[in-house]
Amino acid sequence: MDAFIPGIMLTIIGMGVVFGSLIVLMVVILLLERFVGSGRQEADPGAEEQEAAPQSDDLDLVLAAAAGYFLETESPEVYVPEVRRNANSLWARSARVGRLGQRRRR
Amino acid sequence: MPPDSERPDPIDELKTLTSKAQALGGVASEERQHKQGKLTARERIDLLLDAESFSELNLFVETRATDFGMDARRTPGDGVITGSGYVNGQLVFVASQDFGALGGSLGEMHAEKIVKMQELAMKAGAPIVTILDSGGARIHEGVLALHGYAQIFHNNTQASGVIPQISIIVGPCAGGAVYSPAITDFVFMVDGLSKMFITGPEVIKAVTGEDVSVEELGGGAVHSSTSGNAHFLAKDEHECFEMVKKLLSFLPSNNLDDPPLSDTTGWPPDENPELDGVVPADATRAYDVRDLVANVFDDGDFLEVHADFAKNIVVGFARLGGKPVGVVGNQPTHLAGVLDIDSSDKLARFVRFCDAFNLPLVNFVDVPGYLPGTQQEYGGVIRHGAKVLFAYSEASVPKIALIVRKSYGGAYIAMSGFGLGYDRVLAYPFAEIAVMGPEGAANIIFRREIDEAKDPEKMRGEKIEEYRSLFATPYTAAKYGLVDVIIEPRHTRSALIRALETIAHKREDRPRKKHGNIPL
Repeated sequence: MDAFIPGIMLTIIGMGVVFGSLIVLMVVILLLERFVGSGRQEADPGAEEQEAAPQSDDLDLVLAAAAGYFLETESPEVYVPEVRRNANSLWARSARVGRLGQRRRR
Repeated sequence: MPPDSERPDPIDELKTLTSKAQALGGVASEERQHKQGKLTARERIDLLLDAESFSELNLFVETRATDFGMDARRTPGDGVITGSGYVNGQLVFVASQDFGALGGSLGEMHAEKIVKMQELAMKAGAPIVTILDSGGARIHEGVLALHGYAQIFHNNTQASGVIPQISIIVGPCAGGAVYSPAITDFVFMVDGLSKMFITGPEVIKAVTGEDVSVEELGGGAVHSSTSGNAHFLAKDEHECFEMVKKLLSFLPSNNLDDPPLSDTTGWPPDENPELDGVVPADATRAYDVRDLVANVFDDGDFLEVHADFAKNIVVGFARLGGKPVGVVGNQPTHLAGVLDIDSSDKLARFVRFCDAFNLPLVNFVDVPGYLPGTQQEYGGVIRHGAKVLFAYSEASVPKIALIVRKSYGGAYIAMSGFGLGYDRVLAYPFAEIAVMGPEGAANIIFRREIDEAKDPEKMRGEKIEEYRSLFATPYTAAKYGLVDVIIEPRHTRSALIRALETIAHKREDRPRKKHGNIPL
């Protein structure tokens, strides 16, 4: 019981320090965003619009290039191993043997 | 006859006419296809075949129809490209319909080209790949178009079991046109691009009043998961053609050739400790049978067929020691791996394909039986279940069953019964082979003792254990010679390779007959 009260106090102080630090950090980040972010906007207004909206002719080219890139470079994920096939196929030989057998019977 | 000076140079004329004919529907149709996110017929052939390997047939064929303004609408090739080429060095015959030319519709000469290609493929003993993107029968040509379809279906049937036939749906495929893919061995569809149905949404609305979208009715997702008409679903055309190439890498060119061989990389090892932990001995715990497959077959490489349809059974192709095999496994993660109507159809068709093309069968058996219920009985589970028995009995390729956990009742007979003609039956030490599970069996055999006991629950528990200790082991079946060998899971790969080697050249005669009468 002697240690209980100091333990509670220590917990409250510890949590207070942690949350206090977090609040201070949050305020600092908000202030930085406000100053640095607005500075950027003022320095280059409309830059995003220019990048996002090319001329209509260019748009077709961009779309075609994107489609071409997709069609040509999309690497398939299907693994196809190299295989060896028997060069001496039974297909033609068995047909010849069959025909010879038929002639003999005639 | 014009004087020589007025005649064009024959070589120049050939070049001009060839270039004009190769354009099919022309630049406009090419652009239309691309706008719809589709490739042209020729681009598809280029994707499938090895570079510069395509030899085209009947480039200059045109329709002979003149009615309904057809004399003014002639297109070179009549809306389909046919020919032969090589896929990773293997000769294949190809037809590719061009939606840009008369909607890819099938008329008399369009059909003639496909029929000729089919006949050449059968003479050559080489697989057929048909790329379908067509509005269906060309109405302008009437009965000649229908006659064309009939010839194609007839040839599909003649070629079935002789050469592998693959259909790739990359656009609409409606009405009578659907039956050619349905007869072939494998159907590929592309998500969001392929549509396949007998009657479209408008007709369905008029006849039954049902509202259904094209995608819900006949899209790739529906056919690969619900109807089972599609065996493979690709996310785009590029993936689709790569999957076709992969499938061909497992298949022989015809029913007389052996499947192709490939080098092994040495993984997984013959003794694989990973396998000890894949199958839980407790029969109530689920696991994914594909984990077992991945740790047994060469490189863990497995091409699953019908991956989204009837998931309670897994079927597909893999290699064992460099040799392709057909793999079958009950899937405990879905309906506890029972057999039912759909899974029976899926399994029987796969077994018959493997048998036709000399691919040995390897079963991983963990099956509690056939799914009970009125829905199944009314749906004809007896007839469908019989297909599995028929297919395995009929198959004369090497058949190996590995009972990995439980194998009960009729499903035991179908998937691992020596009496059905299995060449080798192996089992894990914790396999259970019985007419039914210990709980059900104890309730029937010891009903009187349980009813008359002072503590029926305790008695039931004791009797379940008694039955389990007697039958729920592989040793009883082994005692009767119904299990060849009991193996540790870690030795699965080496045991299967040895089993396969012993029967690789097996010979099994069947009575002479026109054909059997499988319960369809």
